[in-house]
Amino acid sequence: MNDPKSSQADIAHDAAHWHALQRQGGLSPSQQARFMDWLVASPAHLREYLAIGRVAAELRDALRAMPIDLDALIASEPARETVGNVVALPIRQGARTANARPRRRFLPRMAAAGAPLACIGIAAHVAWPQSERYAAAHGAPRSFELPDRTVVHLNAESELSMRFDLFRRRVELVRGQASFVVAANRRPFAVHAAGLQVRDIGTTFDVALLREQARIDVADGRVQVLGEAGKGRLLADLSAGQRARIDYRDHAVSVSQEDVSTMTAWWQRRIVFRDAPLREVAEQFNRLNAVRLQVDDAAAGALRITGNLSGDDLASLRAFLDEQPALKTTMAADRIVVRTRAISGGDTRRR
Amino acid sequence: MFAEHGPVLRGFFVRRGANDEAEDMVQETYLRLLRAHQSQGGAIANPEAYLFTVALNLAREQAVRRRRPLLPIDELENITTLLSAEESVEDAAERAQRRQRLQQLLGTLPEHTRAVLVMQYRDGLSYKQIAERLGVSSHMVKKHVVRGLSVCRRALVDTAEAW
Repeated sequence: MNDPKSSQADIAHDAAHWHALQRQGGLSPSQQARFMDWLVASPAHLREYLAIGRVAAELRDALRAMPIDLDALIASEPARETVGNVVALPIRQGARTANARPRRRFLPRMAAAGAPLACIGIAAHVAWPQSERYAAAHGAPRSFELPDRTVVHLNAESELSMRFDLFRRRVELVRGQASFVVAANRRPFAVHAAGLQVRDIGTTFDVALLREQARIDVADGRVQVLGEAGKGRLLADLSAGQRARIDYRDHAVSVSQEDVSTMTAWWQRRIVFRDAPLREVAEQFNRLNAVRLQVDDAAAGALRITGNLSGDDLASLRAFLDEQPALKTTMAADRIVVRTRAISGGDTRRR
Repeated sequence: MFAEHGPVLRGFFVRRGANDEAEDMVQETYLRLLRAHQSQGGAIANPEAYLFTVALNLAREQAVRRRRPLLPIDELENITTLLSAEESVEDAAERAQRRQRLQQLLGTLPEHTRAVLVMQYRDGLSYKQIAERLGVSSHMVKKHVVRGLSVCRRALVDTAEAW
């Protein structure tokens, strides 16, 4: 207790130790008693324990807002520090960090360790053009900010690349689904997906590459959709609350009105669907879960359903499907199998 | 549990006119905990849950004292919302600053420590699941968590002092 600084560090370490032990769970009564003794030994202990809890909560928020390639982190050698683990494939990292260095004292260390988002915003003004690639793995949707402060929600099993230069902001959705809350900027913002170009006119919108069609939802503002990567004709001009489905083959367009909260529900891992085909719901659900929803026949896949479920809640999904009179579900180890219930003259015999 | 109570904990620490009030809350929580500990002869089975009950009660009392519009106070969720909603703009700025600092710090941690923190706090995996994924022991996972938390906590204290 002579050196307040080091004793403070000891308390912090003890608090972190207890916090971690509590997260591990399964503490014995004697361990719990020791924890209580430690907690009431001094207000400083309690204060530190609460502070560690706060740091943990903040850490969770900070991590959720960061693009992190977990597989790369795990695969890396434990003792080696490498560049570029946090931001996926930063193509011009070298140039950016070199230019950004004099700007703030913490930059060299940050950049060397993988340059999280904060760096990008500062460096944005120094090095053009910029390119990045972002991917979200199965079960792990994520949100992040682009250098212009546009917020991207990237669904699980999705991938996009972006290229910003002095004159335009161009994003390419390679697969899956992404929503964009576009930051106001003089440079036009466009998303390219499956040969379509979605031009933003100050807005929040979502682009999903489904099996047979691209779906574009506008939550706020207006967008235009053009064929042939922006060189073709205007396919749709959408305002808030509108959803366009565009067939990949013939670019046939159908536009419908949707509830805006439905469009963005997946940001919170909710799966909301109104009169949507089951196969599309299954696609959304399967991005998030290890247990897959397998739709066995085309008739079941085309069945239109309405619901609002938590994306990770298997039990509710199963109950929901069981309520559908036309469907029959069976549970296997790693999947829920759905097929049309065989009905013959009111007799619901099981096969 | 910490994840759920994050906003409440923030409410403890970042409040308008914050420091004195936060310190009062800590002191009061401490006294109540100590009293319970002494009167029950160390028989509190789950001290952490108990601690949060005490802290939540305090936060609730404080909210009532401030004559906030009455809420169905049995609902924990509302208290949490209440506490997080009344943070001022400065709190939001401070929080953004702390988040940025944390993100920088995370970048300086060894990869495996970072991976453990991601799996634990972002993805909510258990130590056992994390251990399997990394091919190490649960004990090792705990060590990473302790190290990561200590580094972040210390750095945030240092930052606060430096500014």
